[in-house]
Amino acid sequence: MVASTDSPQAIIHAEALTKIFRDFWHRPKVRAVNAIAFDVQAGEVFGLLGPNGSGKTTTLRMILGLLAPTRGTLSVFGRSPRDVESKARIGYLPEESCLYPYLTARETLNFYGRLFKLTRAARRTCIDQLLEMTGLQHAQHRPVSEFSKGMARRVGLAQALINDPDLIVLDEPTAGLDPIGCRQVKDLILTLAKRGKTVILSSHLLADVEHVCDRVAIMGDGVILVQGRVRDLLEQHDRCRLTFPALAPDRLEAVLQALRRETGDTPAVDHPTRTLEQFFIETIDQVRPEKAAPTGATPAEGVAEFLAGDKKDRGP
Amino acid sequence: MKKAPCILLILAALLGLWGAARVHERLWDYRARHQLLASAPLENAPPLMAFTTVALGGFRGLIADMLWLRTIRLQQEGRVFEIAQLADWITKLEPHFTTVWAFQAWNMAYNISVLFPDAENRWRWVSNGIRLLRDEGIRYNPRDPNLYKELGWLYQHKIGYIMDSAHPFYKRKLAETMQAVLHGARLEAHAKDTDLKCLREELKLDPALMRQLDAEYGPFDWRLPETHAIFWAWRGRQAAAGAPGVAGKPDAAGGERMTAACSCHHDAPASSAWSGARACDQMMFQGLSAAFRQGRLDFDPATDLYVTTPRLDLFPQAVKAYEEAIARNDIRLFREIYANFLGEAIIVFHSYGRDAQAREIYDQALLRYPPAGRPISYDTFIRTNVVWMQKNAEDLPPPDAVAVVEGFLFQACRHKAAGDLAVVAEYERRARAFWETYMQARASEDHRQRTALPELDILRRQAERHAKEEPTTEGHR
Amino acid sequence: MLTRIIAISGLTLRTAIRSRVFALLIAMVVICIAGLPLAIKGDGTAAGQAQLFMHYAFGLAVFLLSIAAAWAAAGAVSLEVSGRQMHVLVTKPVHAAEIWLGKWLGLMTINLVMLGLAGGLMYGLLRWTTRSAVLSAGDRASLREEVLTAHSLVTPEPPAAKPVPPGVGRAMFVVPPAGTQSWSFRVPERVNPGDAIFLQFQFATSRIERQMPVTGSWLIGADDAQPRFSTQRSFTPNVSHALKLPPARPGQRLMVTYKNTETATPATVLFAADAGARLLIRESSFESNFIRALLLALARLAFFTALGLTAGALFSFPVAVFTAFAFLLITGLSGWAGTESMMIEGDLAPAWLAHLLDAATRGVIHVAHGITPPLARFEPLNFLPVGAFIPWTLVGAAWGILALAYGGGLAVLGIWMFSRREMGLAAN
Repeated sequence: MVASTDSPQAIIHAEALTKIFRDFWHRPKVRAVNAIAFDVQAGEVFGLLGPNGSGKTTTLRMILGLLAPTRGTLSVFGRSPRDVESKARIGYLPEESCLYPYLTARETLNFYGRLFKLTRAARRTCIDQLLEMTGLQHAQHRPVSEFSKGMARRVGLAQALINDPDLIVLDEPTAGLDPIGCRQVKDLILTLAKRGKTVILSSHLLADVEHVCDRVAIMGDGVILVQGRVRDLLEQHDRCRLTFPALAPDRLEAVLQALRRETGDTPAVDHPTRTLEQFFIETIDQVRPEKAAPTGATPAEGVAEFLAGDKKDRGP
Repeated sequence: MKKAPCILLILAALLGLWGAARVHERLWDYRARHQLLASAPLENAPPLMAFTTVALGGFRGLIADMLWLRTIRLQQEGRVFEIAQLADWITKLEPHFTTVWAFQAWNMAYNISVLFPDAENRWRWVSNGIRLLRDEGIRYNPRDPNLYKELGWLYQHKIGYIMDSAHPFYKRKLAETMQAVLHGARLEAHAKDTDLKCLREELKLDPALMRQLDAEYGPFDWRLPETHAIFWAWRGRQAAAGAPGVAGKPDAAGGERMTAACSCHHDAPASSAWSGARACDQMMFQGLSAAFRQGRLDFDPATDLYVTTPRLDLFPQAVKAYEEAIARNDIRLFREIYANFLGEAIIVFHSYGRDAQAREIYDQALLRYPPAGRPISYDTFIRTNVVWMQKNAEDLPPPDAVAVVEGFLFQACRHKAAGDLAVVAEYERRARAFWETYMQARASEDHRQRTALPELDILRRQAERHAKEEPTTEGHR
Repeated sequence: MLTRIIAISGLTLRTAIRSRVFALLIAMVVICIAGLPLAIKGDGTAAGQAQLFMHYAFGLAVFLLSIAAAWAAAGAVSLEVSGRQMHVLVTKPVHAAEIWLGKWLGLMTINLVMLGLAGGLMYGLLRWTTRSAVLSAGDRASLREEVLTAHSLVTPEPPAAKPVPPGVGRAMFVVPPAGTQSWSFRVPERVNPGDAIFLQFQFATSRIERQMPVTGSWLIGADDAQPRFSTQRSFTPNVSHALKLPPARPGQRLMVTYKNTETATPATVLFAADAGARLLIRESSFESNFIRALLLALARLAFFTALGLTAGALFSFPVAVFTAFAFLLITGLSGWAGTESMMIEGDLAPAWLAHLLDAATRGVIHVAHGITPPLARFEPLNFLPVGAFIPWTLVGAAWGILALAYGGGLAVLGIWMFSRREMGLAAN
């Protein structure tokens, strides 16, 4: 177990956090989270990784106040996770989009906007920008029950951001999204992080986490197996990698000879590849200007203005 | 779970099951006795009603109970507008439960009607009671003689007797209703189709059956309540002939409990088909006795004339009804009622001057029911009874009193024809004396309303007419 | 706080309308009310038919709306918990109280609209079925005076003669054969001079036969003149009678005297001191009474909604529905059993056991009746069909007790439990 270092900067502070689910007779049934400790600092992107059933979602739900810890301490913004006032600074995207089926996308966002007491004008601006960001303008007046999973997810993301939260909790944020959507979400996370927002997310898609997270904790069976900075965890300090333009075979052989001499080992040589995601986005980018998806979410670019740092037109 | 509580719980469950099983058997018997088992199909019921009774299962009893309690409360509060509706539902929830039909009809006709001071409103509730049995109870339970008996009872007792101060109004209403359809006392051979339809569909009187009853026991005046009592009792007898357990022998549940056609004890369990049939027999001969005593109706709504006088010609039919009933149920009660009827008939025949016939009946009665000691002579019998009647004039039932007065006046007419003026004056004096004694005893308004005799002049006119119609086959005294 | 409550109630309302619950309910209410006149069996009078229609239409509409209110309320929170919309909602800065109140307000808006619709339909049908063209003059008069009115009872001024103190039951005025009893009434100032005034009376007798009539005479005199009205008739005991009196001036004093004139079977007549004889005066129009009856019904719906919401805040939908209906059943049955039940005599159990069970059951019923809301006290059907005036104080009491006290109590419980509820446990 990695001991947490208490820090005044910690947005989320967990210590010996345990959650035991009980059955109808109140008998302990499952120990979903077992004495974990971690801190999430302000401005940090923190990832919870782990296979299904490892306790990620339970941990997030405790942070949101949806579950009460059985033992241990947990504070969010220095207060109890159930504190209503601090929720004004939180945005949450649940694992499955839980939208009101009889509302349209715009009505959904309007409803949540009113809960944050945004003025009518501020709501309109935010909603317009969020709909544009998530590419849902053309579907904004359709009931969300008709939406595909990906589109519903985008509405979910939009509602999570409507209050320009300081802490964003994302449960499997890329689940159900197409690669472009995934990329947008990742870009969004990075943008938010750049603005000093704190993000905590859970995922089992490691590639997602790797690109955006500053720190990760890997969970298994309710405990944190390892946590730390992504770079620190992944870097192999006893090995190096060189990248240079392709050489003729004889010249390459000479370089390898020199390396063999220096290391006493046989170096491996191959061609670097792009990731499939990178390739996919490049391919789609070539055709995008001509065609917009007629019914689904329109691939959109960038991040809503108010999220990118422009704070004008905001309500109280 | 721990073992000990587990065993305790199982034991408790077993105990509960054992208790339930014990009670269940008795409950089952009880339900069977009251025809509450759903096995018997509901006849002539609309699909919705048949479905409801099946679908509600055991709950319908509970619902019926709750509605019943509501009926009681509303009745106590005098809020009766809902009661016809509640009775409708209760009977439909328990369509085979004779007591339920009988009670609800009886409740409306007897208890609710008297809550109203005016006769018009009372009659409405009496009609509601009749309709419940006639239009629905019998329709769904055509084989239950008890329901026929209960319906007959409403005609015979509620309308026919003098218990209710509004009974003259009921009698006139019934007579008006029937006269409107029959245009007279009985169903003519060439009745209009609309009238026949009205009889069949609204009054539930099958013209063919009416004619059959007239042929077998009549002819009757169908404007009189007794006729309707006889009709429904006769129909009940027919229904009983097809019902199980009616072969002249009591079945297990019936026994000898039912001793009178009185409907006053509705809290007692429903009588079986057998005792229902016997009650119908009893109602038949009681109805025919009444028809003999007061089966001639002179009715004129324009002058509010409603006078009933004896129908001596119905005597043989009444005897026939008695003989049939006794043949089927040879019980002491029936024999005693029969003997009383014969005694009364002798006096009636005598008071109309038909002593030969009266003497004949007397001799037959002596043969049939020989007295324990030495028999008294016919003349002694007549004298004793006439004296007794003079002495108890004020306590006689109105039909008997009418028979006495009209009898005297009838004799007066006959003697007048013979020019025997002294005798005429004597009969006139007796009639007036009897009439005055009887009427003087009726001091209160209510008493007069219920039991007053028609004016002496009216009775005299009736007697004159009847004297002209009657064949003069006998000598005068 | 208000913004969020309004937002949540708006959401509730929108969901109800779009999920067609609303349409279905409207259809049901319309079919039931409009179809009712075909299905009911009155006592044969126009007044009786109107009373029966009002009784059943009103009863049925309120029953349907009550079921719908409790059902919808039970689902309003619990279905959002199981559908996880609530997971998102509680991560917003919303208090449990705001959620509860928002839902309640939204549902009450539906109740209000539905009740208004049902009331309008009922009133329209009532007016249409009792329109002058189809009724005789007598029917019209009895409808106007007995049913389509709102009358209240005026108790007599304190009597000179003291009633006989109760040996058993209530204090009584005793009128022996040929005896008399007088009451003095002050006609209230609010009485409209043209309105008919009735004398309502009820008596018992010393006879064993409960319903054997007694002849008596009533003499009504005013303080200013000779006797204005007298009648001699026979009256049935233990039944409420109403004698129509000539119109009287407001403020006038009426002397009412009863003389026991029964001679055939003399009987002593007993009038209850408090309810033996009273004046029946017209208090308000039928229409305003109808509106007050609807407000009574709405107070009941407010309670049912609170009950459903709190059950839904505590439990999953099926459990919430069951809990809410079980509570309503207990409320209804305990009220009913407390007033109407009687001991069942039977041969199924030994007498001591039957008595023991009876005593135990009575205890349970008594307790249940004590803690459940007094719905029967605010039952509009006790007033409206019989033309009895519903005072505004009763409407106020209904709202105070049913909506505020019981509804508020349920709200506090529901809010407290809801704020402690682990939302994440549902549908994991």
